[in-house]
Amino acid sequence: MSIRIVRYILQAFFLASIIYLALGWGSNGFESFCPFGGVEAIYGLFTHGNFTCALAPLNLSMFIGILLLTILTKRSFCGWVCPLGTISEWIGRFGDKVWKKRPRIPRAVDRYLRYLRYPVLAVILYFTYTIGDLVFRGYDPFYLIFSGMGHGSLGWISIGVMVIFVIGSFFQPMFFCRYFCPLAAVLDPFSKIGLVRITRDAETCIDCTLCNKRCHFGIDVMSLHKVTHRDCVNCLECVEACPIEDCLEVRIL
Amino acid sequence: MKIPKAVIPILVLVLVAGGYVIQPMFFFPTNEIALGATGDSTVEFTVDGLKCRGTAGFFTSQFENTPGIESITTYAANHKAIFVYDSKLIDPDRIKVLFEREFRMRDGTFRSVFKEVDCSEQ
Repeated sequence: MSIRIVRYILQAFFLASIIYLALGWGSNGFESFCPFGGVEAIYGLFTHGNFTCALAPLNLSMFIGILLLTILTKRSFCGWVCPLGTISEWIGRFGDKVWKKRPRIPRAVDRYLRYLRYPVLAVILYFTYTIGDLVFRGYDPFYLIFSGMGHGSLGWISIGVMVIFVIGSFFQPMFFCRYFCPLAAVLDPFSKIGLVRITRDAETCIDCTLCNKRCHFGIDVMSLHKVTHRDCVNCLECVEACPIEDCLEVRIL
Repeated sequence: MKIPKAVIPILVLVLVAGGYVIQPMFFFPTNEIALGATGDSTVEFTVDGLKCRGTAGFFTSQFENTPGIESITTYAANHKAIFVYDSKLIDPDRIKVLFEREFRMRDGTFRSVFKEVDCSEQ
């Protein structure tokens, strides 16, 4: 079985698990599995000794697990587990089928837009910590999708967020993850450490550009020796696409 | 050092499962209040409707003037509420009646917010 199929199976499994929980069939709510909740919980735990709003121990323990995973394998959580990443990727694939030539955000603009997630993170943490409530639920596509625009959604604003999420993913693969995901912003410095990473052998590379074309995050794999880019989710799509054996490899350190 | 591609999904599964398994290490109460009485008994309720810090605060506030309760500790994560109470002054049935009663909503209607799912005396 190819590693691509294994990834699709895992993505489908985690997405199905969250849907199962969102339907109220599990002992935990689907929100408790969100590792970003762990980041939001830290301040409340230090100041009040308890969890903010609906956050739970599982949010924090999942965040710790994901942090370790990121130190080991970069942001593989995003490429293998995150249900929002999975939905975003599927919409992007649908876009691939529709677009003959996908309109691209210029590389230089895309590079700066990726920094948007840091102010997004700062604003979310500031208001969550000062207000002591999950005030950004209404803007969170993960919550809006799986709660079915539930408690805390903001009517037309939340609908607008969902429309932007879907249309954005259709135009630009991993639109939300690239530009707005606050968890990605938290994991970025740890992703730079990422011990397991993809390496490219420049001697055997034939510059076919297939690796670049297959990368959902638009990383210029073809010009790198080691893929240390913070956005690499180790999805291994580039490795699978490479026609030369052992040109792209998974290596530790 | 080259490693097999399968290492990545294995690490993903191990660490996501690890994150799930270590959750009891972080099991802190959502709300904890002491009410002055001296208790000799403990009862643990699983309460539908106890789902966040806000509802936990509302839940415990219903007992502020209730005699015979030493402390209430709530855990929104698993919807538990633990009461330490004086069995001469109050009992679990009375506690249940108090939190299951109907409350006046903003729209003027009355409705029950909390419902007992399970109860175990310790």
